[in-house]
Amino acid sequence: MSFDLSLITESIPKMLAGIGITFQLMFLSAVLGLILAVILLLMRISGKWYLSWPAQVHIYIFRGTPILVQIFIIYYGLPQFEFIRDSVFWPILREPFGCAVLALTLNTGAYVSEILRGGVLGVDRGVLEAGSALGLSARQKFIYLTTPIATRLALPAYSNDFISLMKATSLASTITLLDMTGIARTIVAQTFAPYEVFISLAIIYMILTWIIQKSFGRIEKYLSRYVNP
Amino acid sequence: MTNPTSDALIQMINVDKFFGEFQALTNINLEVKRGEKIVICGPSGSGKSTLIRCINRLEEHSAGRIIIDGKELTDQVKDIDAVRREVGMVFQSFNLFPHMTIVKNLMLAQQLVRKIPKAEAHKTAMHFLERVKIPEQANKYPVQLSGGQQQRVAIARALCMKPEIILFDEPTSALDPEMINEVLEVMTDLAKEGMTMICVTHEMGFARSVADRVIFMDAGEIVEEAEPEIFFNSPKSARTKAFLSQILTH
Amino acid sequence: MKFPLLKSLAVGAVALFAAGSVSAETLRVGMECTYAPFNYRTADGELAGYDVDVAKGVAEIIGADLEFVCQQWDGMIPALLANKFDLIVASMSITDTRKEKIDFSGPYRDSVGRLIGKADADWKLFDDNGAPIAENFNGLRVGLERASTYENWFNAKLPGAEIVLYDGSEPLYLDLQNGRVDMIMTNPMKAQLRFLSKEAGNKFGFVSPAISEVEFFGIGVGIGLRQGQDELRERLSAAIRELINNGSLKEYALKIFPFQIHNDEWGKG
Ligand SMILES: Nc1ncnc2c1ncn2[C@@H]1O[C@H](COP(=O)(O)OP(=O)(O)O)[C@@H](O)[C@H]1O
Ligand SMILES: [Mg+2]
Repeated sequence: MSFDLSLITESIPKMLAGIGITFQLMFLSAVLGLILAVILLLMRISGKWYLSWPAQVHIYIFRGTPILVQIFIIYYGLPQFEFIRDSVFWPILREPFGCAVLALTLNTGAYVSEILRGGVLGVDRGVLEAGSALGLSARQKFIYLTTPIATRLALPAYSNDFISLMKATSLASTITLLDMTGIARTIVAQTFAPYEVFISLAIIYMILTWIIQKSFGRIEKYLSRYVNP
Repeated sequence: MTNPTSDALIQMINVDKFFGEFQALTNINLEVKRGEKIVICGPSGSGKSTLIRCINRLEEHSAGRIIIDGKELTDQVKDIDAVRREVGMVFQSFNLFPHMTIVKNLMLAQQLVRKIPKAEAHKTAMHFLERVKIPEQANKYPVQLSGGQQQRVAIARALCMKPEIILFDEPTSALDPEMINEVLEVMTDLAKEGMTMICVTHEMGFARSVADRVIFMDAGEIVEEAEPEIFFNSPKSARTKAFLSQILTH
Repeated sequence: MKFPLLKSLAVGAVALFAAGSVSAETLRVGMECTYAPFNYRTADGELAGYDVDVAKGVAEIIGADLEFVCQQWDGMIPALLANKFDLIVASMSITDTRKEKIDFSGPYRDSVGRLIGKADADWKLFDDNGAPIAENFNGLRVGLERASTYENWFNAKLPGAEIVLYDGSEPLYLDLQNGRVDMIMTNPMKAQLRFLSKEAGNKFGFVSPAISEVEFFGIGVGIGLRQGQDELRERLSAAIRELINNGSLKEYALKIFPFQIHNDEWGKG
């Protein structure tokens, strides 16, 4: 087995052409997923069964099934229904990009809402009681006490999920998207050189992971300024 | 429903409190007049915290009536909010907001609950920090302060809300011995200024010098209630005697 | 010798080994196993199809045992090179790019591609001589299998078309039905059988003539093997010629299609 180094230097720039798609998938899903996670969290802690129950079902489904299967169901499964192809959502669901963002959002939303819930449960009860004793409303306590404290508590787990999300974007290549992995697979198909190309791809993902870790490390340090001033 | 015949600031009438099957308070009757200082003592688990937490509705009483400054505590959110604005509370574990600087701790509720503009809230905050003698700590975070300093901040935070009453739940129990006095001093000053206070504490020196009445609780009941002189020198109940002998020999 | 038993065991093992190597070589054959009607599993899990028949026919002639290995298309050549199996009998067209990495036997099947799209649309994609009209492809979304020969043809001839790459042919049909692509280019024999003749495909039809430019599509489909095995390659090619000449290849095709799918000229060698 020969190892062609020049192939690495050739294929990396080609794969980087797909980094835009990778980033778009990652950031769009992260933002939408975070919004979904907060909604699911609020539903879960609302204390109303008709809100908390659907949220729990969503979380159970999307944490209980592989994300690849979710992507396939959304991409290949949904269009089997005529009413979906006739619906206003079709322009989004028609595009593999829309399907990938939808699947990643639904998936990460489920995970992150559980991470946030962990953070919320980790907030010292005494602090919230102090808020009540000062006359803060439930809403005010949530916004000014629970949210900032829970955010700090949840951040390490969240940064892990963010890295998982970044890596999960590569699954979009299975539904025709030419993200970095999609391009890599195409290069492999043309050059028949899986080692060189996939190792280069792995290196790019590792660098991205490193950048994400460092960034979250900084945010964590900032949010923890009151713990280790 | 108010009780116009009483001039008491706090009235508890036949109050019971259950946690599930467990009865934490049994038939509590207590009146506190404006400016009165009450010290509550009793063994651990006797219901002291539960009693004062019922007063600002951190716990919901199960039976009986609680009337604060003419407002009865019911399920009405408005009434509860109104009562909480008048009743300050200081906790054993300080419970400062860890993510906010000291001065922000003091400003938050002023701005959100009393709708006081930022500048004025800041002024009030600094005023009370000076009263508890730590204005120089204003821009630090709670973890940077000693326990005694944190508890003084907690008192200042309660004072910023201009309450009619302050409840203290064992404010010095979590402190190292050398810090207890700085907190008691602040509390004594407050008492001299005429604040209505209910203190759960085992600091008997403080009780003797400050309290108008001392209440002894055991097993969810008020067992004995007397002026400090009488309470410490000639307690009536055997349970009180046993408790005092334990505390005082320490 | 202190251990007579051990000694006799060792002798026996050597004898067995020698006997095994004489009786038959075992060739491992890579294929997708999902590419009906050429290589696929029947309802009872048996491998069947034209490629499978060819592999078995060749094996019989050269006196080898077969072992089938299922492998996804885009990893087919890497897997051969990594020695996961010895032969590719998977409807793989003989092309120059592939020949840089692997060797091929002589062809055993035509290699053509056809476009499939909505049957009732007036596409106007080809002129009367069957040559594509490039500008009419501009902006059309065309689905192809990743690593298929069709991609090169499109890139060279019809750069205005938007290429969407799939893994496997079933997703191609699905997305054509779903309207995610305007047309697909694929093997016409397979598409006829698996899609156009079924209910799902009844609104669709061929919208191009059969395209078979040797430059892009190769001279046909052959058996792939690692380079440097000229003797084996020659035996494979000879076996294929024999299958053509004795009518077996035609027989394999007629099991599935109403026509043969090879060129009798190839039998002359
Ligand atoms: N939230 C609660 N749920 C169940 N039991 C409780 C709760 N809070 C207090 N209790 C019980 O009520 C009793 C009185 O508690 P507490 O008022 O905290 O006592 P004290 O403050 O005198 O030590 C104790 O037996 C305690 O275990
Ligand atoms: Mg207590």
